[in-house]
Amino acid sequence: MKFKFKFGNFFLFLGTALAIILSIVLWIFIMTNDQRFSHIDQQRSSSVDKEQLRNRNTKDLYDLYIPTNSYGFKNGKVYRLYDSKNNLPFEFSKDLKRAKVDNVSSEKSNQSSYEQLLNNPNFIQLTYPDEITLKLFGDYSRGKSNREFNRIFIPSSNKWIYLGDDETNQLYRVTLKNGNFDRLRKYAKDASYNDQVEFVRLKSGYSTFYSKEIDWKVYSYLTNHQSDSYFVNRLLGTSGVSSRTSKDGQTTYSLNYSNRLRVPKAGKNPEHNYLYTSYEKGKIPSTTNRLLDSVYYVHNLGLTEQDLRFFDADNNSVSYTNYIEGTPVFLNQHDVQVNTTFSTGAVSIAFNSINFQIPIPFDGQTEKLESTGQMIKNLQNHGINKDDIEKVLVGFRVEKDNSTIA
Amino acid sequence: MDHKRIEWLFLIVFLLIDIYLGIEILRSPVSLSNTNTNMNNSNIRVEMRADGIELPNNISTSQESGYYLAAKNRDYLSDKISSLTQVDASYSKSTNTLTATPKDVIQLKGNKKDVLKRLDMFKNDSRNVPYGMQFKYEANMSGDDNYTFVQTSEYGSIYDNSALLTINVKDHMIENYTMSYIGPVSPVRELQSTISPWHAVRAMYTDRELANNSRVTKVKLGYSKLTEVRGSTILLPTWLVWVENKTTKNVTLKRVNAYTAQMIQTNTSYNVEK
Repeated sequence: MKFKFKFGNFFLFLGTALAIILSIVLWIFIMTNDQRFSHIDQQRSSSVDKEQLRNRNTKDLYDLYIPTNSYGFKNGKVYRLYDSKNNLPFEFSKDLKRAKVDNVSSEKSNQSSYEQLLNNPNFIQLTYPDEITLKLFGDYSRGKSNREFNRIFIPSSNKWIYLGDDETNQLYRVTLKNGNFDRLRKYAKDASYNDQVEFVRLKSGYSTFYSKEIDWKVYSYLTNHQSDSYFVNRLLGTSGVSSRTSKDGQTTYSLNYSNRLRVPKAGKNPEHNYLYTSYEKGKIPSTTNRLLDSVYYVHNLGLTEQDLRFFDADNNSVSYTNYIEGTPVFLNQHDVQVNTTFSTGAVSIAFNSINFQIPIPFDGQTEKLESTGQMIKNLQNHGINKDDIEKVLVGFRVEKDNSTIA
Repeated sequence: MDHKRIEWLFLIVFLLIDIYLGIEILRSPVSLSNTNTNMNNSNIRVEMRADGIELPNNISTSQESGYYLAAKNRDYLSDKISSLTQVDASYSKSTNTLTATPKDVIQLKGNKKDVLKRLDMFKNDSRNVPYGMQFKYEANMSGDDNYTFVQTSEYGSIYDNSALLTINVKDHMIENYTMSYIGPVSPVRELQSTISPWHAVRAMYTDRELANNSRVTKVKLGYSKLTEVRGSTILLPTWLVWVENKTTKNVTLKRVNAYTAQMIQTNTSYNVEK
């Protein structure tokens, strides 16, 4: 009886100690190791199904990847094309959807031949703000390299187009079936040729330089912002969400440690910047998959995608911002609307909740934009060497309009 | 004895903690895609059918395009009254509506086609109806005794109470008409793509805007009023969806924002009884 008693005491002590140790181990495991998320379907991140993207709930993948600017020639000079009625890049996007890619071949080119093509008046040009891959629109490269491009050259023929990479001067000739750009050419012919430009080689490609001073239109919008709970619901779901507040008063909502959403500080925070992080074990996706996956994440944010366009793809980041008539909008002086960053352990999406809800008719207000050459001279006077400049582009910044709009 | 009780208590509590932590570890984190209801198109069609919702044949899944349009808020009709020599007209400033009765009897004989031809002749004559040429017959909003025409523009038709012509008919004669005119419209921003008609109907279904046992009779792209700002009315492209209640045969016009797929809850919905 005495022995039994001691035996029971010993096992009770041992069991309690083991239970305490086990709970400490499990707790440390949860808090420190994201490996437990390894059973998330790793196919998903690199792998948001392309078909799913193309048939996704709002609008199609191509909407975020419409070229942002178009250029044409008049009397041998290049002009940025604008037509208030016909959106040329959008028309091209529609025409391209109807065409079938028959063949893609690399053309021999160098800076000199590329610049000849840039200044060839027989082509209409459409541009993206940064390089994208041909694979984004389908598996046309057939196992070959990504074949990046940021410029499209439309000839007078409907049977082929050139794709050009400004950074490397590489050209691809794309042979098309059922291509028809007649309407695009007509629109380009009828468009306004007000802004004369030239393409100037800078560090990371050709930038559009405005030859003369321009009265640039100032646009107005009624804007709105979705609430924190809207994004919490969309990104983390309605159940299982916990929140914690860090020392500086910034609230982070989390779901099972795998998804976190940092919301802007409550009170007076005019910046409306959010950071969503999804922890996923896996390799950083390929360039094309980064472009595709970022569309998936952008779409999940639930922002108004009306004016949202691809803006930049650098290293492991892909960013999107709103465009007004071909000009990117920068929030809080320098922020883009959405920036997705891929790393081996996580995908982070920094975004701003502003929605450009209702466009207000243009009221005639303009802003003087000095010629790009003059702007570069001013920079040089301030000690910035032209050779150190990566890229130059014109952008809008957002300013609050306090006038009555009703 | 107390010491033993405490040990038992510790054992039970920590075992429970271990079980909880174990479940937490084993449980799959909810992935982002799960938060999004990505219902398959064909599944939605099956569900709609099960709910007794009928759709038009071959509803398009192709995207269209449209503009934000603006019209200056002005009184366009009052100064036209003097030119309306063949009708007795009056203008209500409060509702911006013109009402007129033909001075002479205008007979409407023959079949529907003949009647429409005669009505077209009537409204296209500027002595009868101002800006009449800009109005187009809309069968989906017309009944046996009233013929509704919507204002058109080079960008598309406008479906709003402020751009409407309704000709009332009685005993095969034009009784009177009422009209409103929004004025000329122009694009506020460049052309942009819209969602497809199927997408609009699907959005209505998922937003519970399509009641069970109803029939979608027509889906059309048209401009609807969004808001008024700085003395202009802003219009945007909308998918106009005519929904018929299969039991009551009542037809309701619903509108879906063709850019964002959101429902437009305006007071401009029509209940058309045929």
